[in-house]
Amino acid sequence: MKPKDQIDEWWIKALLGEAEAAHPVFGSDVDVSVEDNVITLTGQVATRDQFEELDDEARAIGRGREVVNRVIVLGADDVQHMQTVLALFGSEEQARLACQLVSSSPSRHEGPPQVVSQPSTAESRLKDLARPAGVQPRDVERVIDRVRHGKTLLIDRVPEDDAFRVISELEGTAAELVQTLPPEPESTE
Amino acid sequence: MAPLLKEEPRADVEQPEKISSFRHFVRIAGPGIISGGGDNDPAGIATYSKVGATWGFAQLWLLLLTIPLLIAVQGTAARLGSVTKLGLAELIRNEYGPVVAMSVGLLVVAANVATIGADLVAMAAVLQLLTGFKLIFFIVPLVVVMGYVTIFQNFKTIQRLFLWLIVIFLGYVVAGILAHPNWGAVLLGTVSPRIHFGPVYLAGVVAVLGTTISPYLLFWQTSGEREERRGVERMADIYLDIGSGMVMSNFIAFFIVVATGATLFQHHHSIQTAADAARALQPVAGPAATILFSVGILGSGLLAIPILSVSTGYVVAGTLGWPMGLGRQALTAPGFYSVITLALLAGVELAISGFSPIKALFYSQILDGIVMPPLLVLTMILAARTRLMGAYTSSRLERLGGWSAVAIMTLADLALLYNLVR
Repeated sequence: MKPKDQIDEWWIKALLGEAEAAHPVFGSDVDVSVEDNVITLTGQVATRDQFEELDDEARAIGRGREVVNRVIVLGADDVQHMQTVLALFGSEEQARLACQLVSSSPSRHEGPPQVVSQPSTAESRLKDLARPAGVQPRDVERVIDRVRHGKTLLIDRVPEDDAFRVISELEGTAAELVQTLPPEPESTE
Repeated sequence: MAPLLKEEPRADVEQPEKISSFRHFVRIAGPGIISGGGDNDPAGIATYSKVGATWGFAQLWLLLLTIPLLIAVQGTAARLGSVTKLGLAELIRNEYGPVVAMSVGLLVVAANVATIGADLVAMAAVLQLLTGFKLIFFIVPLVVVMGYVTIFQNFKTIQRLFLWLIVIFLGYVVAGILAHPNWGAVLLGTVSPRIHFGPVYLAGVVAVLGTTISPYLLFWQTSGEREERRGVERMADIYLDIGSGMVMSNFIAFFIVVATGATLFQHHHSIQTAADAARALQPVAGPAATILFSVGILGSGLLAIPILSVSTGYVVAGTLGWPMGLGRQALTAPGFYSVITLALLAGVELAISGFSPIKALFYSQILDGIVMPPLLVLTMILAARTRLMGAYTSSRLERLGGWSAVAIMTLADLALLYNLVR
């Protein structure tokens, strides 16, 4: 049997809950579970290519099912810089709802985002985050100003990969503005 | 499902560390190489064919010149997406305000819809040429197929399909060879620019620049990095992807000009559309060249029209702050997918309404020509802004290439305008 056929056969068994062996390529380094039409991948691989390969396999074979890839890439080629996502809301309630949504993702490893309504807290927090991101403290004034005018700020510092997901989730909320601080060159996960 | 039994990977199956560099390349091939493919849409093929038929090989040098410019421009757009994790339309709205975002957005949407209409007619005309049935019968089925793939398939599947479509473009290389060009003249036209200041020549220059450096590709590239989730440490992969895409794009365009320059220019054939070019090739280069040319037009449309409609979705959803992305299902991004559908339907309306496809192509190129220099200026400023980009602002080469593109496109626009007014 060709390697691809063996992998496909393994995936079909895995989706049916009948796989007794480990993944033919990645062995016991990765686990797959299926619940409520959601395929969750966990474990670890050595490189980004392998991560993508596993992700491709799951999406190709699990057509129509949601794939949650929680596999960790161990290789040095996959440096993840920390990055801060900011979102402004018209009310604290809206921001808390968005916070719940962002926190509920199964692939999230960080704690929940911070919700800030006080201008002084926003100022000190943002100025702390600006420096490692290579941004001048005055450059975050625009956001602080909007908190001074009654907006609520959601601050979420996550690895870059998560930043893509967080932004995508925030787009479906009542956020009036979603933006990021640049990735932090010195902070990696 | 219970955790799987712990055991070692099987020895008879390819192991992870054996992933080859070719497979690595295939894996990183993404928005950049697809941009390159989408750059040669049927409207672009018409432009290159017309340039070849009108000027022979005299404007081939432009295709060499635009490679570094294209790489710099698309690289800057990719950098914006990779660093900020936002689309270009969102960035313009956040940084320049809703009025600027909407003004740019409207022009790009209008140009995209006009191009979709012109591309649809070009594809249907080619099917008419190949089958003998009237082109009107092909327009709706073509859109249904493209709409289905774009709306109901996920980003990875769409990307894989697009990558296969790019292979079809190799037919142009064969068509170019079948046309038996004078390779000495081809080389001369490529490396030795002969510039005329007449309106026809300048119109050709503007059309080539406008076709190769298109607004919709900037939006596609920026949002594509978001869809691909490529962070700042993957800039080398991003550049390999973009570099391959842009070189391939101009390589194919080069052979389209060579094919038409060696045949239609020599025989003084005048053409207006890509289908005209395919038809006119038959008596001078043989039926094989015509078929290859025609299949290329079909493939290019199948690739470009979804990109144009998705870019329109990125522009509108980004400007209005709607959820967007091909990674989302239609129900979670209804606005984004509605815009894609409407863009396709507007293209169909334009294609079947009797509005001349040549006029649609002309207006889309004019709109692209108007919007591209200011859009590029906004993009270049954004990518150099420390507030947004921190330590990842645009590189010197990106700035050099990007601002050169702004200067060249503006000069070409002004020269054409001056000549037309005079």
